[in-house]
Amino acid sequence: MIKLKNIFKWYSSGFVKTFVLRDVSLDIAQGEFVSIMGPSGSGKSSLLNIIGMLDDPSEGEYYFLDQPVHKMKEKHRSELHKNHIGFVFQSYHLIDELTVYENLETPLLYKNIKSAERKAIVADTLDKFNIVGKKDLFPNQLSGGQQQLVGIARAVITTPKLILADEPTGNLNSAQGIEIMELFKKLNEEGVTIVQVTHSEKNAEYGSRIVSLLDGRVEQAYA
Amino acid sequence: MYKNYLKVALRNLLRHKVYTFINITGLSVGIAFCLLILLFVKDEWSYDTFHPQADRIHRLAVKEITSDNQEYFGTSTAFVLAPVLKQSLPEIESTVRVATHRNLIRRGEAVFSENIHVVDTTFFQVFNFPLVKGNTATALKNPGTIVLTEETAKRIFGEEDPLGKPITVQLRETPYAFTVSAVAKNTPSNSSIRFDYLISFENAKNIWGERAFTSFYQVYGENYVKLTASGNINQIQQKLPAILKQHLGEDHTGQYLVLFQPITDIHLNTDFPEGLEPISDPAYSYILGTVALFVLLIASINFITLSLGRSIDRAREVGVRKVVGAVRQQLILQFWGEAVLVSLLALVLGLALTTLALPVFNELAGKKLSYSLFSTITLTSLLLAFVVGLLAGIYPALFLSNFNPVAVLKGRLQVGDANLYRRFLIGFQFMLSIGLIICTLVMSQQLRFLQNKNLGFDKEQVIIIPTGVGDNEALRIFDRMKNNLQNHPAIAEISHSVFAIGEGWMEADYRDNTKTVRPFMMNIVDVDFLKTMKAHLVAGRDFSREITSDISQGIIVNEALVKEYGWKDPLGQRLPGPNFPAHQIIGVVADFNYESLHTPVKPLVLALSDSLLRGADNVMIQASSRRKIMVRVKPGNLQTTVSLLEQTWKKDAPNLPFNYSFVDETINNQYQRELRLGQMMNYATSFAIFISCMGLFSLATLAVQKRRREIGVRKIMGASLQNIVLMFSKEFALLVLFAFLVATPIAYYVMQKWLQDFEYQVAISPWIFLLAGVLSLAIALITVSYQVIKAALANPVDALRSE
Repeated sequence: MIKLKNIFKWYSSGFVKTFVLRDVSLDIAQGEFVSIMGPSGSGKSSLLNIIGMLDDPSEGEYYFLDQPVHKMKEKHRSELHKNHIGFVFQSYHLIDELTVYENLETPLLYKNIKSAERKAIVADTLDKFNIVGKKDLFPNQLSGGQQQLVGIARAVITTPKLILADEPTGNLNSAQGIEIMELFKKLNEEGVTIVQVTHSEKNAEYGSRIVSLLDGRVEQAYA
Repeated sequence: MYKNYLKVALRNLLRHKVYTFINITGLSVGIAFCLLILLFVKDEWSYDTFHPQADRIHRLAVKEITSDNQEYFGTSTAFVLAPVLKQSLPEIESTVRVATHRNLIRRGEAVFSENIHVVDTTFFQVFNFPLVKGNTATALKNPGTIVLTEETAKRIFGEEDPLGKPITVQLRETPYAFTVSAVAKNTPSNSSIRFDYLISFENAKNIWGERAFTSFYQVYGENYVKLTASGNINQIQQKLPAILKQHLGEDHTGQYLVLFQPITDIHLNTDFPEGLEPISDPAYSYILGTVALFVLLIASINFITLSLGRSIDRAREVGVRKVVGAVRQQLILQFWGEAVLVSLLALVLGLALTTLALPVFNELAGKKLSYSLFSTITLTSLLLAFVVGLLAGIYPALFLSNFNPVAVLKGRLQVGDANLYRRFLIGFQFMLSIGLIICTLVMSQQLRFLQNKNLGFDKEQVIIIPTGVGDNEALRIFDRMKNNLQNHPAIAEISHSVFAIGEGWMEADYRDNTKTVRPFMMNIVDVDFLKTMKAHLVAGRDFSREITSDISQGIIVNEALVKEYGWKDPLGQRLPGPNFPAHQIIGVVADFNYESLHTPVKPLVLALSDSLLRGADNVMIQASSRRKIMVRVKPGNLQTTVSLLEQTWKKDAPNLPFNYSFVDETINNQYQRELRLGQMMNYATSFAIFISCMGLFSLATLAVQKRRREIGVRKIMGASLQNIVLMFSKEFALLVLFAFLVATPIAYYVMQKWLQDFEYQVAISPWIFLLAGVLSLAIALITVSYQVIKAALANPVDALRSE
């Protein structure tokens, strides 16, 4: 599903190039649950952003569903991204001015889904995540765990093939963290490919594979 | 999707009430201002467009250039002109002559001093003045019929039906019996012909005499022509010289040009002299329009800078939306839509403000504008709000939608890009404010100068009472009043003259020994005139009752006249030429401003009788030539003095209406246009400053918020309150300084232009610029300091912990 070939990412400031990723090659198959680990500054998030098409590599090739992302026009890429990828963030990033219901609805709006269908999908999702009672609340009326639940619900509402999670439990207490990880596991079992960035060994173990990064290089890959 | 946008937008507006308030109030004041000015300008430009085929109606103007290059240009033209042209020009469909005559109208015991329009019977065919009662075809057919407007009918007849009722109209000295034949609608406020009474032109000979109908050199009114559908001015102008030559006679030298001024052009064309009604300077429309746009611009800039300043708030939303699938165009649309929404909300408030402010504005502008929600103005304003929203929203929309979601969501966002642009905008805002302050200050200084300038006589405490009757009767009334009043303790002096201060005096010209045409201004006065006016003689003596030759021979001239003729010793001189054999100068009066300060003091002759005029070739009279009694009263209770005058008048002039005016008020009325502009400028400037201050205040709030941590760190490092205030103020002070440097020369230039309208100008003092600069700097610093001081006084630990 994902094929990265010799990916480099650097930032130049003046004459100095600061490398964030060096020669990263990585294959992720459909249905995998991959955890990317590594110390701060090792390039985990950059790798995730490149996979999520939020950022471009400075060099290298990236194939998503066998299509060359590195050669695509912005519009095509945003179509791929919109239809196949969901994001979950450490600090949830819900829109403060919208209710839970409206936050969930937003991705559907950008996919031009008709109103009646939208209602049905949102209702389903609320049901599935057990947050029907919270649908009219605003993000600041929810606990962190609840917000992240909404965040995940929003990520999966468009039924993406891939979910990218950047330290999804980083801001949560351990009980909430476990709940969220169990949710990811369940989603994975339903067939969604998941790539998460995490510091926690315990969370990493939910996945089927760990990719370790150090100073922008892949250190080792467990099968 | 749009519902989603709308929700976010409205919730954002509600959450940030202060910004919403500032944006919406600012914009709505701007919009209201623009609407009021729009109404004003629309009214100014709509003059006389209500006539059918207005494009075919023209007023005739005559430009005469004599063989020695003296030029006369008048829109009052000879009564003979239009009929003569119609005879020989098939291009002219019909003609109307319009002249006015001020005289007495009586109904039973009641007497009114009124302005009566004397018009051709074609009046109702050419012009669109609908009747409420009566028939346009017959209303003026009979010379003994009179048409009233609804307003005058009500004044004279009350609720009675005036049709067929008798009314006495005095023409010159003779009362004639008239019958009311029709009632016309009141003339629209945007008409260059404004009448209260209409009588047929048949009566003109009883007013101006038979010769007025044959002479090309006696001018008493306006001539209008309506061209045929195919009529072409160029063709007419080609035929004109031959036609005029035939009527003026072969021995006429010099040029006699007849100009066709479109009726819709009358009100705003200052190149043509004023006719029966005052005209308006289009520059005032432009000035006011520009000022209104400035106010709107300042409010729009607030919107832009505040949107940019608050972009951090919205950045995360942009990031999230991009991540969940929004493309940039959709975000641009969203933010743009928000801007339009804000301006539409401002429009609603703006329309309400317009309605509320209209009475005040009418007072200021001296107009009777009205506004209804269901008019094109509403549509125009909708468009205006839309455009403002689009223009003010575009940059913030582009800026916000451009955020990189990775940077935003990871909190690595640096909002430095818009800073330069924002500074430029704030600087521009200041520039407008400073410019407006300077202009307002210069205008008010000039107006104060006009009102306080020594005019060469004492304008205070003088009451003018127009007699409104012919000379013989007027002088009889004067004698009686003088007898009754001259020893009264409240009265200082009493005198009379044909023309009062503040109205146009008569202009005469003659040919001197070398056949050169020489014009002079003239007034016919009473012996005590100069004494009553407190004007000063610089040579010779005043008129005297003892010296009987003064009546027909003595004249007093002003210094301007002496200078024009270059006399070393003016006393005993006479105007050169064969026309004035018996006159001589007995005194020279110091120049005094008998006309408004727009014009210089022209050469003037004062005489006790009109005998001098017999030698004049042309006499031009603008104002009523009926005697005015002039009373200088002693300081004290004016009200009781006025009622004393009224009682005396009632006794001495029974059956005549009592009117009065104060000289100083009449003089101030000469500057009404400028006074009005000045007052409107005051308002505009106050609003502009207020709106920019609101914007500045919230920007300072944002700047301080963003740098709270920095303030905290600096305080811990030992910075004092002053250090911190200075740090923030420096930035704004520089902006103000820059704005000041740009605004000053522009404002100076504009004001120089404006002052050129006046013969007497106040010197633009550098203090004005300094004051404007210091004022705006002070306002800016006070606004900014409030926020900075608040932040600087806060405990730095709190600021650091919150990060």
